[in-house]
Amino acid sequence: MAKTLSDTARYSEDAVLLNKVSHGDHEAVNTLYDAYFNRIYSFIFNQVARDREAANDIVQETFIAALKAARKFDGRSKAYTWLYSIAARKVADFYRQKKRVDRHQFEPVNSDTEIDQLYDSNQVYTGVEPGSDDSQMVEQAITALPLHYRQVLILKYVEDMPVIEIGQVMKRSPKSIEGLLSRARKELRDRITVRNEGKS
Amino acid sequence: MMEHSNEEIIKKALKGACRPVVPPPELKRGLRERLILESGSASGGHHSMLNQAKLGLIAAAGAISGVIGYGIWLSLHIPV
Repeated sequence: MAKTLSDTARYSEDAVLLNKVSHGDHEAVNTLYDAYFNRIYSFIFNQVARDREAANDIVQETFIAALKAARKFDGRSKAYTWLYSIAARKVADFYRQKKRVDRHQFEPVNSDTEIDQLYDSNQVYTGVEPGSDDSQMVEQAITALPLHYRQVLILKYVEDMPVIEIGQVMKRSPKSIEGLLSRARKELRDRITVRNEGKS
Repeated sequence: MMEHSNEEIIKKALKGACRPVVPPPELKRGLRERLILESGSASGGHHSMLNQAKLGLIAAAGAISGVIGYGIWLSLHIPV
């Protein structure tokens, strides 16, 4: 996808900002921090089942890592997608460590074959509208999703990020993101349907 | 059309379940201080690497000059 003029200006502004950050410019550090801290915090918080302690640790690791890596920022993405990619990686690291403790609940699904095996092709949808009332049920369904499904859904529908930028964050092609989104939506609908049936 | 309406439902559900949160102010303040502190040392580290490289070059140049000088001195003082 071609970059627009405003995108190009934004990329170079971000490159200048991160170059200043890498040289210890306190004003630039504050600018970056003020612009993105709250958004990155919410992004992390929503991926770790709203666990404040975990979110606090991960957001700190994210910004410290960003500070150390600022010198390597190549300006090919926007600063915010670059920060989101660091945060996404830190969340994945968190679950990798947690996996030993809680293997069943958080085990990520790695290949498309494994993902496809999750589906029961005979399952009949009952037409439940996920957004109708119970956001807690949706929250539980999201928490139970494999991490890459959770990340792609949050980036697309909560952060309102375009597919090309989600690809930059998750280090995948836009086409692969489209496929992942489609599978993640289906999996979320399935889980909500199952929970809803369990309730009735 | 159907797919579009499904997307809208999912978007609404996710927006409802994943609301933005206000980070703890003490965390925000503490991390800012830490970043400011570490940004000085991070860039200092970068500069000290540059300085080390400069010192290395100067030392190498000095050693080469010494070898050349010794060679010239030998050629002048050792009778053929």
